[in-house]
Amino acid sequence: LKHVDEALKSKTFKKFTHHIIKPDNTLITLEVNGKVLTDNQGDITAIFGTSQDITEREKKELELIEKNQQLNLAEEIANIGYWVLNLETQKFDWSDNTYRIFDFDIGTPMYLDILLSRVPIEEHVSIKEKINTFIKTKKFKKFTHGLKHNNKSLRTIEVVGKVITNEQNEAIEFVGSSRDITEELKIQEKILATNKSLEESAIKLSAQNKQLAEFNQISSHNLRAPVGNLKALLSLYNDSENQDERKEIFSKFETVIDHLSLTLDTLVESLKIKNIPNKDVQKLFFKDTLTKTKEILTAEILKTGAIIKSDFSIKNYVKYNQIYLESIFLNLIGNAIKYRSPERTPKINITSDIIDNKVILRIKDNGLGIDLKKHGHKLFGLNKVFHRHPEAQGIGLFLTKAQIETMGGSIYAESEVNTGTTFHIILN
Amino acid sequence: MSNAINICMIDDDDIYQFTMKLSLKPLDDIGIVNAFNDGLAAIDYIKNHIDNPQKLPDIIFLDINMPVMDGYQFIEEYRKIKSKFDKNIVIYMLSSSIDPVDVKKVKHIDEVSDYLIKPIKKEVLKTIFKDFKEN
Repeated sequence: LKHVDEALKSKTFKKFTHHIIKPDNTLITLEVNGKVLTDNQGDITAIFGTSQDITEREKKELELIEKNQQLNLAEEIANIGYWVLNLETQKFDWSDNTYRIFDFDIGTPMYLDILLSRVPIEEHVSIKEKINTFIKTKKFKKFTHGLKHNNKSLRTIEVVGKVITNEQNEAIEFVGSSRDITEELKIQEKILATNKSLEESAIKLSAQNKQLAEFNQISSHNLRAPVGNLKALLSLYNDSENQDERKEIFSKFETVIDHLSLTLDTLVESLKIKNIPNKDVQKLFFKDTLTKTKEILTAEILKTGAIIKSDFSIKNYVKYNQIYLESIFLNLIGNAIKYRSPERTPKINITSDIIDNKVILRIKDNGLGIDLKKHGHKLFGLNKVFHRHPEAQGIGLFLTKAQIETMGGSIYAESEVNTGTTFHIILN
Repeated sequence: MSNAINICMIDDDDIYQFTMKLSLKPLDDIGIVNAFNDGLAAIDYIKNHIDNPQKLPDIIFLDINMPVMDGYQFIEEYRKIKSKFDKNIVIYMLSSSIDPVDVKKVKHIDEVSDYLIKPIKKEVLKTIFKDFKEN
């Protein structure tokens, strides 16, 4: 009635709704539309109108609002924003959450240019190229871009979408969603970093395991032998009644003890090298190290007439631990002279190289050579000797390898019996 | 003379050779005692006396780790020539290693009678000779 009164007063009919209860007790909503008719003097002559049952429509509208709210909530929770881009006007249609993600006030009219003003300038060209490709191919490919928020923080946005075409198969719209994946990326990075450090630990552990196995091997083989000898000598000494024999046995004790202390010293030295890696690294010229080595080996070089040639033109220096580099030179060149062929003048060739950014050193000789098929597995072992040579102790290569490995490198050999040996040292 | 037992020691450890020689001294019926520093020298000796079994060893004490030709490589070479001479040589393989890998490997070699860990005790040495005489 109030609505009728108003209509009478204002002489216009305002649409309104009201509820009625039907005889079966269900509540329905009616929408009333009407018109006020007046005569020439402006007096009302009639009001007529229609009543429409809008119960269903109202229900649908309510559902829609609810769905929209749910969708908004879902967008917010998932950090996703939906959008439509009209390709002709370059105007965006954004959901509320899209505004939040891109950090604009909700409702601001939004165009591609305005959005790009928040994207780091170096990405503009590639984004524009992408849009052109999407239009041409009518296929939208997922991509990510950076986005600066008002507070200067840089976010990463992942965009997925679809190209909408008209009947002429022309691209008219992009619809899609943008997702802020900054936090996700951070977590991913953390996982990757954790993974990496786990891998590193695994490598370290297996290296330590290898070291332990090596140590086990050494104590099982190299320490037991001299200790066994001492035992045998002692038992013979006790059984012997001959004074001269006793004297002879006693002199052997000295030999074994010397051998034992050398083995122990070597072991301790190798453990020192491995466990306290001496990272005291400096720029060392190969030429200088070689000169020093030659000085130390002067007597051997003169005696054997060894010819030592070198070519460090590819790389003339390395950043390395000085003591280790000198020890590597001395051991390998010393070996090349020691295990020379009696039939040839020893010729030793030392060269440097770079492979995969790593400095390689090669020391090649024309000496006795080693049958690597037979002895290769113990070439760098402790107390392993391969020639009937009085000075062979099997210590040099064992320590050389430890020094090279502790600096992150590796060493291997190529050899042919009676032709010569080449040691390849990957320094770092 | 025919009862004398020829001994061959193949080992690069001179001290060990010395103690073995001294340990053999008090034993009876020891014939020729040869000592070699690696497998190759021993193979060369056997090859040179292939037609003269009296000079060949009855018992070989073979070390595993040696330069030039180690114990395993010696066995390989020995297999190639053992049909060429008329003598049943008993081979003991020995090492100071108590590494089970070595022990297992040696157990699988037919030519080898047993694996001994250095140093060899007097009693073990006596048992070896007693066994040899009885067989």
